Amino acid sequence: MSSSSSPRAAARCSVCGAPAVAYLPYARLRLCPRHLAEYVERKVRRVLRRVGALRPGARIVAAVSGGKDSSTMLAALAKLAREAGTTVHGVYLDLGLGEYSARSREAAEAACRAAGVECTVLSVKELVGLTVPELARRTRRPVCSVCGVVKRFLLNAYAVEYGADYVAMGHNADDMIAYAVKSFLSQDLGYIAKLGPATESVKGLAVGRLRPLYEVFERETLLYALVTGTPFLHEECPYRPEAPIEQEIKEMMNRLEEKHPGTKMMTVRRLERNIEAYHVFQRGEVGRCPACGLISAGGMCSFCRLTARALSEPMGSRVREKLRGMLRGD
Amino acid sequence: MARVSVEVLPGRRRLVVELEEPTVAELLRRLGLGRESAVVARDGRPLLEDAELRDGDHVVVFIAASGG
Repeated sequence: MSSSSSPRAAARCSVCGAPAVAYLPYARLRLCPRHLAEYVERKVRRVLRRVGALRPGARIVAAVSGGKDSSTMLAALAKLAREAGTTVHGVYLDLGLGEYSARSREAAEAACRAAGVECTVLSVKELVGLTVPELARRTRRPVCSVCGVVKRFLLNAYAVEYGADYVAMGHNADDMIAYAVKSFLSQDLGYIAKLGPATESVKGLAVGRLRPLYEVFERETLLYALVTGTPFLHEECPYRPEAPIEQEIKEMMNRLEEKHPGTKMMTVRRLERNIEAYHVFQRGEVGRCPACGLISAGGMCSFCRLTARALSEPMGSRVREKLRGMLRGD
Repeated sequence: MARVSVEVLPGRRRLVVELEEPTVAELLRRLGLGRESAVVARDGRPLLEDAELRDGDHVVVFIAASGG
């Protein structure tokens, strides 16, 4: 083997020459743990600055699930927010998925501790009276769709009551591309309008979403968690379908990326640049749920409809009252 | 030639793989994984694709791609 192709010669950090732990083909960089972490944080900082989220006094609720993405998002966000004087507060949703939820909660709380961030645990069972699988059984709906409705409502309701400027999510660049491709395939182009690094808040109704990992690839969120020692749980939800379409799209995109490095970065950057153009495809006005007073697509919101069906009473308003009590420290 | 014990996450699948060419790239190929979709770590430290694996190594393969 010639010296130029020997692994030893190649295995040095492109920045400092220390032993490298990762190679990023699209950036043509080999990086040591320290410079890998810095590289990821730089991408997060750029996105947060671009959307104006890193300002003194701003309040960000970070949704943490215990998985690699939200743990990495929280670690990087908390670090950058501290430098900027922005407050970050972690929220873990206990969906009532048995042992899986118990292990996820442990990881989420550990990630919050490691990031030096307060962590609030919201239990669906305590707030609504039923776990997510119980709600699904009662309403005869798929667990994943019930879970989506419950998560969206609780995070938004908590963020509204907390007075947050943003809800930060763990969505990474591969997620954003997968959602955009899926929406394109079904020609749900209005949905693409919501796939930018930040979405708008609607006063009193909804808190905008923030996606600090918008330009960070899934593999990089894993690498970041490993090299920074950020706690995370790498386990799949027991209710996850065999092969979600998003995963198939990700695998397809990864094959493309391996042949044409840089494709995914180009896609996610152009998606952000063109996001405004998709607004013309959005249908319907933003409505206010007559039962809970939060955002709805018209009429009662999906959470109030779901709980009305399961418990013969829309629960949105009660849940908001409980959250206000929690925040007052009752 | 190296015998490497492998744990694949998520899924907690454990297996022993014999590699003629003991590198991370070869291990990924044997597991049917692309370089974009997984990270291989030894003692919690990620490994480059061209890193050599040693006989008796224990590695964890983290599959990056997860459904939405």
